[in-house]
Formats: sequence, C-alpha cells, structure tokens
Amino acid sequence: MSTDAAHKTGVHGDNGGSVDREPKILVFCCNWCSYAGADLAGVSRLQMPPHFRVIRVMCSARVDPEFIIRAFEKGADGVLVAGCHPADCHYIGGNYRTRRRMALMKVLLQQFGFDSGRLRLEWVSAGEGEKFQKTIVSFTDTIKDLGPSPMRGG
Amino acid sequence: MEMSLREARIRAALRTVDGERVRWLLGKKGQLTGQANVFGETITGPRYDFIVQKAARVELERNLLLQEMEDGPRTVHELHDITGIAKPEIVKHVIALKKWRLIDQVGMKGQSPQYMAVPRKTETKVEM
Repeated sequence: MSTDAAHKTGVHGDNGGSVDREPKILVFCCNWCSYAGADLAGVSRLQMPPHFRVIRVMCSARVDPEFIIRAFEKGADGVLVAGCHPADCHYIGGNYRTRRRMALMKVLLQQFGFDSGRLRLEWVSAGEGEKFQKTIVSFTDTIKDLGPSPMRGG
Repeated sequence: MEMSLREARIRAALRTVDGERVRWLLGKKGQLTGQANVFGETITGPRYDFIVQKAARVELERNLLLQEMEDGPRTVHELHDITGIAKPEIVKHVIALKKWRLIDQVGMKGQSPQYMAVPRKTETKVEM
C-alpha cells in the first residue's frame, strides 16, 4: 500500500475532515481464486479506487460473522467477501457455506442499522482480474452513494 | 450507544447466527415464496423479508436478555434499564424463554419476579 493511498483512505487518522470521508472498504479474498484475481488485476495495472484493503483468507468460508461485525464496528463502510465460483471451491463446499452465511449476515446487519448493500459477496476466479476491478469500482460507488457508516456518524 | 451494550448486542448477534431460527427461515426461502402450501397460500417476497427481519430482531433481543440473565437474577425492570427494550416486549420474551425452559424464576425482588438463565448442558467428555 502506498503512503499516498493510506493518506487518502484516512487510515492514519491525522488527515483533514474532508479526506477522512473517503470510504473504508475491507475485502476478504480467498487464497485460491479471488486473491489471485486481485493480484492479476494489480499486475495488469487495472485502475481501481484506493479505498480498499485486502485480507487474504484460505477460504471465503473462513470469514467468520464476527469478522464482519467487528469490521463495521471498527469503522469500515463496506465489506466485500470474494470467493471461488460455486463448484470451484478448493475445499469442495466452502463457498456454499459462505453464501448462506452472507444471506444471514445481511439480515443481521439491518438490525444494527446498516444497509444490507454495505456487505457484498462476489465470485472471482484466479483469471478474472478484470471482474475483480469492476467489482471494486462498483462496490466503491455503492458505498459512496450510501455515505459513511452509521458508526462513523453517517 | 454505550460500549458494553454494543458489545452485548454483538455477542447476541453472534448467538443469533449460531441459532436455528433465522437460518431455517433463510434456507426455506424458495419453498416459502415459490411453492404454495396445502391451502394454496404463498408468501410474497416483501412479506417474507418482513418475517425474516422480525425473526432476526426477536432472536437478537432474546439472546441479549438471555445473556443478561446468565450473569445473574434480573427483574423485567432491570432488564429494561440495561437493554433499553420496552417492558411489554421483555415480558413477551420472558414468557417465551420460560416456555422453552431457558430461564426460570428464582425469587422476588419487591413485587417483581427475578429470572435467571438455566445453565446450559455442557458436552460430557468420553473417556477412552
């Protein structure tokens, strides 16, 4: 992550008020597909907004509901979970579990006052760098439209 | 929102995730909205969303109350002060939790009954 990008996202918290309004997006990528897709997007020099941070997990099913709730509690404006396409999971059925869990989390997040659009699940394979880039762009636009998270005074 | 209450709500939410009720409803979405029951009735999409949201809210509140009652005996008034849930709603939750034997009346505080969570059964280790 470049220092410039870190300043733009307001990670250090010592920026001006306007800069801190940039969205903070957390992206969980599965090791086998989506992370490679994200890597491909980077290697291909596809342009993406610098408001997201990637956390690599071995499988999208590793993303515990607590991770998502804690992310929002700590001030994330959006959480994107990217995993292998259905039937392509390295661990056979991890992404099916993720799909059900995300549906449940969307319901629960609304109980906490968050818009369900702040959580998104996407299937990105290792060869889909372009899809990863498009997903990030569209998700960032969605989060910008939704405004800051209620935890950040939105 | 107070920090401890927020933390308690998060823990209650995680319990809701582990619970069966909302998961069951989500798993039955296709069946409930797509197929008619024996009386030919189907649930519309907005109605289904309303039911799921209501179930999630109720489960969240019940888990929150249950957590409080696991810490010690509580009256309805005390539960209202801690959680901020309306007293009539708490009474409904207490009746439901009592019916499922998750809580029990353990005494009286003035004229208010005190309720406490029934200790959950722990898994017994099988010695080899």
